[in-house]
Amino acid sequence: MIRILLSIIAGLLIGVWEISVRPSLPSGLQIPMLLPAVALSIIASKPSRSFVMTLTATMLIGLYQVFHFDLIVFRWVGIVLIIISLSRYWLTNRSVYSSVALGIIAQFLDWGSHYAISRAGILFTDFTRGWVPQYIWYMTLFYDVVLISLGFFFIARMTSRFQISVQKQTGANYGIL
Amino acid sequence: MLQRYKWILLIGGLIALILLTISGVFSPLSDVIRAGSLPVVRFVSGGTGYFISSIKNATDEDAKVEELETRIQSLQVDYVRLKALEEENKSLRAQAGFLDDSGYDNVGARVIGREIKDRQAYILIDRGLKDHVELGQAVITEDGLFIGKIDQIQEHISVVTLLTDVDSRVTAKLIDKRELIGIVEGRGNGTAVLTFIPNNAGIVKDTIVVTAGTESKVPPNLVIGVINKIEGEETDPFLTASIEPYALLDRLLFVSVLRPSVLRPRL
Repeated sequence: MIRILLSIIAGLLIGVWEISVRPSLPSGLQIPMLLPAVALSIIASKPSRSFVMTLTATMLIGLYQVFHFDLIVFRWVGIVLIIISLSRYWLTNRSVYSSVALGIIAQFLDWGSHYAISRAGILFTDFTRGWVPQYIWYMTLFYDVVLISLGFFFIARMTSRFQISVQKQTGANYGIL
Repeated sequence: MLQRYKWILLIGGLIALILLTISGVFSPLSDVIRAGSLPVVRFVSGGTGYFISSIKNATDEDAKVEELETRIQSLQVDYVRLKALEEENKSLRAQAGFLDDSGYDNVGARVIGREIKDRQAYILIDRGLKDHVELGQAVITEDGLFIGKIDQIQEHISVVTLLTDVDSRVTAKLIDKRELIGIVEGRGNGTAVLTFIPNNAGIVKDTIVVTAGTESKVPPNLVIGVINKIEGEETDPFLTASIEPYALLDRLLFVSVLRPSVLRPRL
């Protein structure tokens, strides 16, 4: 229960960062928080906590996302489901490389779905303009990679989640001694 | 079989939720949550804005000192430029007194979000329908400089399309003239152009451009910017001029929405 509560608080903090802090920063310093946090939580935590954090953050962001038509909560639920599936069946080794790869895939899914849904909004709703990525989009990818890597190393250092358990092979294992 | 029904139910529920969201069923709930979270968002965005603005100002001031030192060293005092600045100052002072007798009331608003990308330029303000804000109303800075118009409204918030946005249009005139001179169109990347200027209008560089007041919710004589380049041939029916907006659109913290005084809520 406490962990779920912590996930909600983390989601709220990420939401406030994405709504209030990030847009006020200069364009080259608009550090994304949602995606690295989601990617790391999928790798290092239970899917249920990732979902709670993502839902809380995206619900808050969605309240202030009024520039374009967007279904941010549904988009991100889809992205989290895809990333969880990928981490279970494809990028299964819990290394920094697979974490970064998952983060990059999630970023492109976010951009692609945001673009497509905002364009669909022009056709079916009153919105007149679609979402476009920042012209220095590569900076977002750069921050994703840096934050996921740093977060991964931090979690690996502080916990034993990513350590491979190697059992010392002795004669006792084989019933010799 | 049960598993199959579970999936159908899940997908059906999700589609129903999406449709309900689009149809606005959750709007009242969203308004309530937004009203509750607005003070936090306002506080954090205000704090961040002040922090970024103070860093930018410090950097700008350093650059200004350097520039002034260079000027002093080269002993080049541009008298004409000073006179132009004096005129500009006069006009801005005139604008400051504009609200007193214009028949317009101003609603102060805090900028709580922004989306200033290459072709798009919007800000989100913490005023909405409950403050009697209407679509198309002019938005000005604390100094009375025109920055854009209200584009979308919700109960507690509104979106302002800034004058540099590619979809922004506002009719304009020169500061010392009475007749309409053209349309200020946004071009993105912090730029705007004055289009459809009649060839015989006699415009010159460094002239101040103000709103013409031909739109119902945009009063006349709000300063937009200054002409810094005129393009077109003598044979062209219309000229185009680049406009340098006076307001620093990426540093807005507080703005005012102009609404007719008659719409002022009675207390």
